[in-house]
Amino acid sequence: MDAAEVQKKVYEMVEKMQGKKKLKPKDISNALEAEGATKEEVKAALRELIDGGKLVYSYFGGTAVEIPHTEGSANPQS
Amino acid sequence: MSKDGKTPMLDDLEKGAWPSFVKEIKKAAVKSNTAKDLLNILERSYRDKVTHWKHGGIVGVLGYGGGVIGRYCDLPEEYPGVAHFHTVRINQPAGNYYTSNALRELMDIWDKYGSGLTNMHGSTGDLVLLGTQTDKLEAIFAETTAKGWDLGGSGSCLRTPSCCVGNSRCEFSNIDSMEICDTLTHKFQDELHRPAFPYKFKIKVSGCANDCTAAIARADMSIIGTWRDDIRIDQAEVKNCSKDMDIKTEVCDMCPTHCMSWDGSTLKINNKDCTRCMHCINRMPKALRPGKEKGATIMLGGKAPIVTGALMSWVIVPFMKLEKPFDNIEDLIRKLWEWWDEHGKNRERIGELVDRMGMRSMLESTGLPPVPQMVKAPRSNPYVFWSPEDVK
Repeated sequence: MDAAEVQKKVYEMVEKMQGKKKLKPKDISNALEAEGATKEEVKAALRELIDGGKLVYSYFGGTAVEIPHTEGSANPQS
Repeated sequence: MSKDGKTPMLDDLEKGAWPSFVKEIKKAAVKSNTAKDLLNILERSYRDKVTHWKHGGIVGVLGYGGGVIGRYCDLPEEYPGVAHFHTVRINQPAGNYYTSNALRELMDIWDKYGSGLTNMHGSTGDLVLLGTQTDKLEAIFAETTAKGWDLGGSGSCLRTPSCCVGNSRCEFSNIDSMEICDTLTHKFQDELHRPAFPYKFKIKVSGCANDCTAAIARADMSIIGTWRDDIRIDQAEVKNCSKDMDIKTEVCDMCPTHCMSWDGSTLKINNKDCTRCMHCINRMPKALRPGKEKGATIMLGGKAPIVTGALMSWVIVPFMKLEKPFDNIEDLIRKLWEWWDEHGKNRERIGELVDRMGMRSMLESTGLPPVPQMVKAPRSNPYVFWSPEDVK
């Protein structure tokens, strides 16, 4: 799989699960490794997507990857 | 807090001879509305007997998965100063050495963007900046990194490694703990800032078994300086010590393995039975010194009780030479991570995984040889279960 394709698959997976399940980096890696991508390719894709701001890390007892959004607990800034 | 701005319950915590966090927050509150509202909401929480904090899980800086811990209050209209109260973790320098100029620069940034309150240091080791808003985070990150600082770890990642002062101030340090800590921090930048583990992983480096970083109780991986040869004895100095202390009672009888004897003129040590605990060296630092062949004992699994009960680290490598560029310890850590990544459940610390799967699985995957020092307790099960490969 080329880098752009892995990134696309990672993003689509996160988008599909947004609001339903918090995907951990390991969940994404496992799923894409089953489709033929390597661990390193998934890691690089996540890095690109996170650095580009398309995805963000979140933490609720464990780290997950999500599409940026305003979280429910956030208070508006004055 | 009552509407007249009084904090009677917090005031009670200022009494006594010991330092008080209330006193410090009050000092900061003179010029910071955030600190002022922190006092107010804390008083309110004590009165209501309920926390008014909410967890914020998504705040951070671009590209980093850790370093910022989000907090909001559930009464933002009443306490606007703490509507956002995020924490920023700054990676502390090895050994916690700062120049006063570096601290001033950092505190100037913090006064500009935050509450002015700090925690020096958090239990992981970071320099913790307490209380800022979401829209200030990128500016704090930009200005601190421009001064040479970096964020520490948070979330399911490698947490900021920490160490004792080591050789810089301690004559008994058996390893260069600061160099090891700094090197590992630089080698594992990706693992520190991009969480990809089942849960947190802490590394602490202590120069000797006195364990000034409390690594054994707090770190998933404890690197403890030790020696392999014999304790060096200056018998003349031992005699000097005997003038001021009872060597038999205070040293020999307190040796955990009773490997020492004192006949009034000569101190003898059976080094084969010595566990390098440092007790005798601590009691007679002029007379006894660690041996010359120095290295580290590597231990695994320490943690506080969060998901399951607390664990103390146990030995996985009794002695490892640690010299620059420390590739041997890096290699071991990466193998352990790979095994943990493969088998660990979400929020399962590596020590818990060893408890669940057994040492055999960990030893097979890392290639470590089984040694007697790994035994934590005598076996309660009299049966030995061999793997199919063992009985071929």
